[in-house]
Amino acid sequence: MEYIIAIFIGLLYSCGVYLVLRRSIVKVILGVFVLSNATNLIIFLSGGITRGGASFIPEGAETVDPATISDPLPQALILTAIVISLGISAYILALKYRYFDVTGTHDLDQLKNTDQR
Amino acid sequence: MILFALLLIPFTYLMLALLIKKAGIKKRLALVFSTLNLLWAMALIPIVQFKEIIVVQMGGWSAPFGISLVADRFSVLMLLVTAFIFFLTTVYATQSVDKARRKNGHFFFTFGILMGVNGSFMAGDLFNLYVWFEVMLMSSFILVSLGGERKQLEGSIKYLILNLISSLFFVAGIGLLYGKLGSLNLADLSQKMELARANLAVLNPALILIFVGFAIKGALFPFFFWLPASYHTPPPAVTALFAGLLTKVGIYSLIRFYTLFLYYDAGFWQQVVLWMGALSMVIGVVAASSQYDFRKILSFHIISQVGYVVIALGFFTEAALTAAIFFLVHNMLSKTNAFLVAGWVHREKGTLNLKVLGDMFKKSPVWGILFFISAFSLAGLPPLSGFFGKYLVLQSGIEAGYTGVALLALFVGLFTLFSMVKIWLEVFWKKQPEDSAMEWPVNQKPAHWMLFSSLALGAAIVAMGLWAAPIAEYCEAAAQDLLNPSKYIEYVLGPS
Amino acid sequence: MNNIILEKIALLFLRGMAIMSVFLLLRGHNSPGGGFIGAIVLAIGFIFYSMIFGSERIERILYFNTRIWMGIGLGLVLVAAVWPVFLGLDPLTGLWYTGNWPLLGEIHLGTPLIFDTGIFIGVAGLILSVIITIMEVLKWNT
Repeated sequence: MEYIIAIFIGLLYSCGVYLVLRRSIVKVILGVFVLSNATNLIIFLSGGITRGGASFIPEGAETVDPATISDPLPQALILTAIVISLGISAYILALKYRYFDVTGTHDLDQLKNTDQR
Repeated sequence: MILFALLLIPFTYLMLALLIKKAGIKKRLALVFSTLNLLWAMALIPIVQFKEIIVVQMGGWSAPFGISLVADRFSVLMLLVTAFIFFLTTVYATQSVDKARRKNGHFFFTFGILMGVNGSFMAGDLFNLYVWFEVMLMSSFILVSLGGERKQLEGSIKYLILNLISSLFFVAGIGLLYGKLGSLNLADLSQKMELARANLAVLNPALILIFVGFAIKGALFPFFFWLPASYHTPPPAVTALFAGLLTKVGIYSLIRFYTLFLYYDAGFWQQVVLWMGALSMVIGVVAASSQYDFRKILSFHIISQVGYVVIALGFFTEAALTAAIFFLVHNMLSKTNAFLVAGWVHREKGTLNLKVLGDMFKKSPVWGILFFISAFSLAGLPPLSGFFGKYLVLQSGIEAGYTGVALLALFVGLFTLFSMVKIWLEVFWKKQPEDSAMEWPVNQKPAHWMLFSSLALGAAIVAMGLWAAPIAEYCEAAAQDLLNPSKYIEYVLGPS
Repeated sequence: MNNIILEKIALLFLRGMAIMSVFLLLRGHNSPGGGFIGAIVLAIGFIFYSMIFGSERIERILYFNTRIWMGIGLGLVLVAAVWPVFLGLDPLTGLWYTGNWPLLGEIHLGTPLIFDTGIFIGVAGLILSVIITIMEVLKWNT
């Protein structure tokens, strides 16, 4: 299972990098979202995958065999990362909208006004 | 609680700013809360002198399991300088930022930045460092684009995408590190790395990812492109705040990270850090000399100045770390003040193009002298803080046997002087070109609050030069703590 | 266009989602659930509702501005964080109360509930303000 997810993460990263290198801003933004999801999966994988074990200690149990439950910390971390990316997505899409309103273009090549020459 | 209050003060402001609708009250509250923050940060200095390392465990959970806030001498110094700069930029912004921006939450988001910066200076574990980075970045994204001018939007898209990618590097590194070592607490990780010394190569991917994350945040050599593309677009008060705080948080984290983890593999990392520092120093200053915009020149100098701190980190002796801390503080103060003066010029003339400007010294000698102080402090002229910063860096470099890099730093100092003299001559000294006199409404309102904050920063720069010895002494104590991670570990995890 | 079946279903859906979200909120801490998830579920109900009735109706249901709701949420978080400090504990420590109430049986309450409620209100306010703003900008209110 780990291998499948690892390969999947690799795929997501390559998709993300491909999208980020495109010329249209919309695709760049989508690429950033894909990359951030791939990163979340890395955290998920880092805790190890336990089949069928939730990260909760059942009611009434005093001790639990660590092999049967999955590590709760990475899941908490992913939740945090997802919350952060929720905020960022809301902002980035608003920014995109406003940008299109002002300039009327999606093309990153038109974005040279603030660059150094 | 002592440390927690520094998060609580901005948080309370954020809450009140949401509940209150009137812009005038929000402005006054911003002044009150930034003063409070400053006072609290000042009170931390004697406490940290007495306690050496302050540790607060959130929720009463003991160290490797819960969230801990840690502040040693270095963090407290950074917190104090942050509070000082934040207070002054808030005062400055009450006059310099236009009403529409103030109404749309300028102060709200600056307090978001304050909360993020305070949090990252105190974070005791890697993931919280990431969260505070994000708090800071979110607010800064919005501040960069607030107002929605075309230039601003372009700058903010570059700023946004590159900083998001840096966060992704950082989080991926955290994930890998957690997978290998099973902990996120900085002290605990450092201890575990000591045990895992034999096969550090396994950790290298994670460490490199985190390092790249910090390097993008700190605008080091191959990763600095977002900075000069975006820093000159928002209003001057915002740029001043960013220049003073944001990249410095990246550098702070780099220093903390290096002294806790990377020094285990010093042979490799020292080379990396030295090269990156030296190259950002040179590239920043060379790129700056080709620019003809006030704020762009200063933005490139941020990169160059950060290089000084990083090479001092690369020397990695006690004297060098002292120099790095001293230089960091000096740079935060001088850079912010230079940007504040740029804001005044922008307010008077409506442009920052060096070719069009001129005669500003005649217009107001006080502002001219203030620019003189901060610019020549950046260039490193004797009675000012920059001289001692550069002197300490050079001395420690030569003592540590890196004469070549030290000489390079001296050479870069010359170029810095060249750029600063260029701004001085073009903006303040030369006659304004006749044909370029453009229509700009003369601002009738006096800029006394702007002047006040710039004066206070100028006084701080001069004072830092005059009383360099006690400050350097404090920095030395901080450097000793940094070089002795076992002390940090003991304070956070409790005596073993 | 007035479609009574659609309107009734949207109302029912909103109420169902509201109940579900409160259930998730209260169930949090020891079981899957919590403030953030609850708020997201509530927001789904509101999105569906506003697609049919327009964003003014949400504003009428909310009574306060979403900004104020966010402020109230942050305020509750602040209370939960600072309360333990006055009892000499570290900030954010969970304080628990267990007691037997008539009719309700054993009740187990704590500051994490206040914290979670703050998150619930804050996140719900945030998402709703995003939705309302987007709907106003894109003129979906017709």
